[in-house]
Amino acid sequence: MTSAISLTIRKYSWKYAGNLAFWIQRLTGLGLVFYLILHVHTIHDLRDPAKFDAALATFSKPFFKLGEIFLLATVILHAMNGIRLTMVDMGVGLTKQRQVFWYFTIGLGAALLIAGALPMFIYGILRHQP
Amino acid sequence: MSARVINWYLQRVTGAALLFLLVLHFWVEHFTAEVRTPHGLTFAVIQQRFFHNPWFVAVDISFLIIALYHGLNGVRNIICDFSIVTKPMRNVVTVALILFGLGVAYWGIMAFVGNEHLNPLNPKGATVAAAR
Repeated sequence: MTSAISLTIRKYSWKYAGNLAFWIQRLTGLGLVFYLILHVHTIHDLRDPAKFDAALATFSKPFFKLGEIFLLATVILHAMNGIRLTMVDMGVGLTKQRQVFWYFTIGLGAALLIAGALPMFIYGILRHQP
Repeated sequence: MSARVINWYLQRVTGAALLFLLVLHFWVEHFTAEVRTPHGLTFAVIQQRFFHNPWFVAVDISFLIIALYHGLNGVRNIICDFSIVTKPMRNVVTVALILFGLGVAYWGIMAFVGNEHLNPLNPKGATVAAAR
């Protein structure tokens, strides 16, 4: 018997890539909105150059540069999964949804992350001068 | 098209726009030659860019508004997904998010509009760049 309870268990059973993708999109989305608000707050300091440079000196420390790489990972996950979602909306690759999720969103996303994080790591962390 | 379809569609359109703008943004702020220095991004770099090309302001402000729409609409989708949120409550959520978004947009736009340090015609702004 398919009761409401068994349907709910199936829905949240982590068995389907779609469920994982759903949570990725929500959590990264909320994180990015939170970051956007903090970011606007820093950019507002452009009215006071000394304050702005002080803020950017703080954010150029290796800890924050690592945070920026984490931000890039969040952006890439949200973007690649967003493209996948739009593909589903447009009916592209409907029979290969699991493969699209793992190879496109996660696989190509990881490759993009490495390509983007490498220069950030080299110039922001390895060659960082206090 | 109903308002809800337009809203759903706009989330995709703004998403596609953000894809382009974010790649540009990361490139400009993290990977260009002027930023790959020991100092990284500084006020002077931003000031030089704005003096050199005022379109930076236009791109930044449109980016902010598109990102806020996409982000806060996403927050609204999440809130409205909870079945305890009734239709009248949904309107309260919508109005609250719009007011919040307008506030953040104002705060961001005020970083550029009326900022004497980013005005090329202002001699005070030019000295800040020259002193560094």
